[in-house]
Amino acid sequence: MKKLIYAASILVSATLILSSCSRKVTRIDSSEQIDLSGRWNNTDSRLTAETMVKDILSAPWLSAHTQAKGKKPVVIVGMVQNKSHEHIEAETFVKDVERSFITSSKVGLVQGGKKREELRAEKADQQTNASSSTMKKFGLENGADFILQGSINSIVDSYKRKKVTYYQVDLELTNIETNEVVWIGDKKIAKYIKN
Amino acid sequence: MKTILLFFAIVFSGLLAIGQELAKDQNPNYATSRDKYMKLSDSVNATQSTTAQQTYKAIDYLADKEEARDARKQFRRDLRMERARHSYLYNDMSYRYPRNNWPYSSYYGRPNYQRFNNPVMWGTVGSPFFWNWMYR
Repeated sequence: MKKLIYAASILVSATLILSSCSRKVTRIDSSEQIDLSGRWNNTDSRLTAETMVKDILSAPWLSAHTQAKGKKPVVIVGMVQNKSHEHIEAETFVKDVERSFITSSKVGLVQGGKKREELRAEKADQQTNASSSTMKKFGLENGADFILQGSINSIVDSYKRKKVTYYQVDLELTNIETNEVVWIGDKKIAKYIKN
Repeated sequence: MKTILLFFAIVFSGLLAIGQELAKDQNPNYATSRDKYMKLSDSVNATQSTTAQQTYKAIDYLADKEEARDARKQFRRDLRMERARHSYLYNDMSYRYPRNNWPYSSYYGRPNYQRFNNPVMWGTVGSPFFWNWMYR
């Protein structure tokens, strides 16, 4: 009888220990707002993307260019400077803006940076390895009309256990030939954090 | 007469060539800038589609407090490690290990003797130079 009690108590305690230590992971909707630390998170990125996409496709630069040139503008994505106090990757919301260009079919998009380097390298490889009929030629790339650049800034005001964090994300669209800034979109996010 | 005609023809063709090259209202000195940026374009454009992280350290009471706590913990850990490594400085064994405690450091306590059991080690320990170095 004693042995049985011992065995049962060991089993119960082992179950309790294992259940308390086990990690639980659940899938959530990416649009669900969950704030844990108060730092920049997916909700901030999503809100920024939504504002920028809505703004950039309805701004007058688009119709002005289409009317003047008779074709849709071509945009290249430049650099985004993160001058805030946190590590923020702008690609999470800039990609949403790029996707909106393609899905709306109103704006053309060309590759830049490392990806463009890779494309040119592939083209170079084709010059000696691909068949003549399938080989892609150099010098036929689409030249961009506009460049999308941006910056992220922040202001932190804290006192003891209270903190207000303010983020300002700015995206600018500039005419490459004339340097004229044709659109500036911004998203301001302020958070009050009480520890 | 022929010379005058030839002169005008040359001047006219030269002007025509310049006129064809320059767009309307284009700066005639544009080539200076073009040549400069032709050399730079590869390095400048490498950062396209990326985020340049130029973050700063914000004044944050709680974060600073946590950082100070972590620094204290790290300092205490380092101190413990240093004491363990140079134990002869902290106990009365200095007469026994005045210079070093080769071939094993007392960093992690008991040494693993197995790793010294190889021909290179036998040769080292068997050499008079080694013992000369050990008790110099």
